Amino acid sequence: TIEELIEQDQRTNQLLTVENDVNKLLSILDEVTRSKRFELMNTEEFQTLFNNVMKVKPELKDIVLGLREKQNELMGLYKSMKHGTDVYESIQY
Amino acid sequence: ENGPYSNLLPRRSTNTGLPESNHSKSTELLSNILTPQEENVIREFALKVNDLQNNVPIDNTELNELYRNSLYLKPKLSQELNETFNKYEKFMELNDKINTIMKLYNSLLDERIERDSLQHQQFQHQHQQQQQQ
Repeated sequence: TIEELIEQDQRTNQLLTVENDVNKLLSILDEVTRSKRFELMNTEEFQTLFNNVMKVKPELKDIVLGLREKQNELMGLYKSMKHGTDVYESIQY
Repeated sequence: ENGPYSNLLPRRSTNTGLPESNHSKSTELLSNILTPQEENVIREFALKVNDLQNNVPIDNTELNELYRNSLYLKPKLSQELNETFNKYEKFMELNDKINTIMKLYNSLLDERIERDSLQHQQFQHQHQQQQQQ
């Protein structure tokens, strides 16, 4: 249904907002790798970022599969439309 | 709207398929998403064109109407296709980054535990030596 489509779209956009947290987390882990300051992994900020990212992880596979399916569906529609308009226009003019 | 060429212009479909109460709040979101009704317009148009190619008798007025509506939907379809490709790439990138985070985190945790365990062993060894002395 349309409501489901809208809900899906909103959820996808919402999940993309985790990108900032992912980048921050990568940057902290990079710092820990270089400096061996393991205590940086014990901070509240690190734990919050890590939890935010881990919450999203299980949903990613379904989202990627859903987007791939949507891509195929839209490509099919695009080809149908292109074929239709090409034939229609060649006949009409 | 009633100009001499108005019949040639694509017509916006007013039926969104949404209940009236949800109509206003969803209108903005719907401008980016192809509705099932709109998808059907494209499929129906392609089917009618196939009929036309196969010399099946068709209603020309209906075909023209479907053509106009399909043309109207073309930019929306193209935009949604673009957005879907972009989102797919972003999610793949996100997935790669999260996998990297997991690997880094696990390896750092291993390293830390190994270091702590080594320190503990050293401490115990020193303690034993002190006791022996």
